[in-house]
Amino acid sequence: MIEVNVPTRLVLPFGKADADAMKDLLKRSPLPSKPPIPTRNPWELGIDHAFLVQLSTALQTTWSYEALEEKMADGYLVKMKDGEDELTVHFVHRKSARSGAIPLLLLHGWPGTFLDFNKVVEPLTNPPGESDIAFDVVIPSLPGFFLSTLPQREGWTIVDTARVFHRLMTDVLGYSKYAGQGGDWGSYILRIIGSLYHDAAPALHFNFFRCPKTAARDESALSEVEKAMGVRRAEFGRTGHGYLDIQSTKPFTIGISIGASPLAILAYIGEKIHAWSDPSCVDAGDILDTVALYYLSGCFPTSVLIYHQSNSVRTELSSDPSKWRVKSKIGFSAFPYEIGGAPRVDIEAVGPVVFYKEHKKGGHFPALDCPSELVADLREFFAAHW
Amino acid sequence: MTETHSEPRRLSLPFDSQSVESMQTLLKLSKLPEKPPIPTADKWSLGIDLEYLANLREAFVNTWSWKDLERRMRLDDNYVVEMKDDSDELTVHFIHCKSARVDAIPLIILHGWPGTAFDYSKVIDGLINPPAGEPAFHVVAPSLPGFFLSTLPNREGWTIVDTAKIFNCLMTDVLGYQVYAAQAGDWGSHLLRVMSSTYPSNILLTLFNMFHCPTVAPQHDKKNFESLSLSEARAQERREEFYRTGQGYFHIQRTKPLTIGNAVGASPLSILAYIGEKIYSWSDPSLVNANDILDAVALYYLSGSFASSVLIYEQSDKVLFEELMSTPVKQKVKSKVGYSAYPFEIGRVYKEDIEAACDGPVVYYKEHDAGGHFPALDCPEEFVGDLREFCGKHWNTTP
Repeated sequence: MIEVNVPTRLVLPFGKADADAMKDLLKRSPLPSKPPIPTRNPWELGIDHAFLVQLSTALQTTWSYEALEEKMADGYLVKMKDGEDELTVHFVHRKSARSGAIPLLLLHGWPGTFLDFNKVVEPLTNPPGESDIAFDVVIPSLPGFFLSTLPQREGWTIVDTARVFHRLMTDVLGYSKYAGQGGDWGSYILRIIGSLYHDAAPALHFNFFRCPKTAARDESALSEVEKAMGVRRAEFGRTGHGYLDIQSTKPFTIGISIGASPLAILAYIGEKIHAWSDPSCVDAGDILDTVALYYLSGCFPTSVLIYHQSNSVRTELSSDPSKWRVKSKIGFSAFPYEIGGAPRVDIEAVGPVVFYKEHKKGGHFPALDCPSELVADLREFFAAHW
Repeated sequence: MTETHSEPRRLSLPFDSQSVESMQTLLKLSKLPEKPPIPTADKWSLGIDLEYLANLREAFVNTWSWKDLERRMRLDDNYVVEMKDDSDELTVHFIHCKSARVDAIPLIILHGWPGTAFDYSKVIDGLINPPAGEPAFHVVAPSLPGFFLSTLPNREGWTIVDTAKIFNCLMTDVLGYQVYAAQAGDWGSHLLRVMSSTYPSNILLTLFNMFHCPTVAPQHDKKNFESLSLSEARAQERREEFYRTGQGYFHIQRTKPLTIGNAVGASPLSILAYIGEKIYSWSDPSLVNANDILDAVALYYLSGSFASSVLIYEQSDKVLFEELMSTPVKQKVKSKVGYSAYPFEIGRVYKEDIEAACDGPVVYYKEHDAGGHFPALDCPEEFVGDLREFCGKHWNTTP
């Protein structure tokens, strides 16, 4: 009988044999040698064919399941009850040895996983300098992702997830106050926390922030990075949201269809990770690990549901700054390749922006593609505002 | 005329029963979830019904017969021809069944996505060999470029305007039919409208089961909903549902065709889920035949054409929106027009809508009480009946 609110150490429900079966399935799914038509820009109509072939080959040969397994240490499962709902939450928890460490909730999005943060866990919990601030790191998998389950009903939204994650920090792990960092769907959840639970979460950091353009915005006064992010947003609006349209309307079809094949997940997720990242920093190994996690855990079909279930909330958060005003202090790191960044003045309409740091490189997954910059920003932001 | 072509030759399938076995092995090895992601009141509201999909897979692996599909394909009537237009080269696959009747009407039938030229296997016999007193047809059913074994020219920018030229040449130059009739739905209907606009002296009659054009008829106005017939009301609901929740595939295919194409096309189970949902939800649920879905999926997978098939959404996006769905419509059908209104089609239009979009007169409008987006599959008798009725009355080659 599993007790509610009592974490147990994660025991993986899959192993090397499953990884080998995944590789076998990849081998049996040959790709044609060239794309259906040549394109001037190899990424213009979707995933670059040569890149996909390389990824598939690497996943079959050089990628290591054992190395991935090692990265899944510090994993826990906890059963939680929320009203009539029951769910299992998977999370990573690494405590710092330093005293006064700040509890930090790190929230991934789609197609991310808890593993997005694996390069920053060590420097955040165990910083090199004596005077560097340290963190206790908590990285949950969103319901429906990896081994976190979704309550078995229609209508679960990120407002419910925000409440559950808040209780994970306060009730399960005993942190009366905590900090937060999030991008993609993680940023929306964090904004809800900053709206509803700001007393417990006084300072929150973002690398993604979808909000409307303010009337006050003076285009000529925008910085280079703010403009670069604007270009990325415009491109996304023109040709980058087909996945969102199908995932928000027919999640079962796209979820089950893509989830059935490791090569399908590789193409579908691989394109997004590459397209949303800084091409000079993106690491193919991170794509392979992510794809393996989605496939081996069988979570792809449930992961896309968030687009359907939380469509209205996401629309509110993106279009109406009065609906979910953030009362916590806001810090933002602006990476030029982010597809959902915002100029400082736009975020200021949603809540108090006390930190806005611009970067010359990096994209939508900064913990993967420029971890030291992200860590430095977190140390600087929380040192001043926690 | 810058177009040249080879002699058509009999199709030789590049896959065999061994390929089919590999496909079935892959189907068996691929995983489906044990239960749907969440329970839903309506099993189809969020996409494919997992139970229906599991049953499809079971049938595909156990009871579906490749030999039966081969028979339905009428391989002896399948051809390929190499066609060249300026610097573009492509191979066109087509089915060509001639009637024994000397007065038979040449007829081209154009499929769409996720259809194939073999959608018409149930209607060919009735069309070429009718009872006495009914019109007969010589049937030509090509695969659109990028579909099945028709190739796409190896460049960006190929559109249905280019395909229109090629297919008109197929009829007139390759097969010698200087005048012909045509039937189409889905992308076939967009293509046919371009063909009829461009080659009015060749295409004398066009019959559609789908026609996406600006809407002007009063039935589309929400204020009039109460006064609609049951059939019209259901059609309007289908249209609205499509626009509300049914267009995701359209958006991803028109923007990232190579992602979705490679992702889904790599696995027969992925294709089964993705295409299966569309064929089911666009058909008449009381008539849809699971075996037709399996046949379609097998053809897409074995020919390796899924990835190239979705390119039409990106390549012909501009033609669709700027010339066929624009106000005014720029590519206007010039022949006499007929329309078969099936209740489960994904967007019915009325006589006024079609009239506004055509230069030729709408001389035939037949309402049905059963059938959907793939009428040749789900109600073949009505499909044949409408062609006989429409062409029987209006086919007239004397000027």
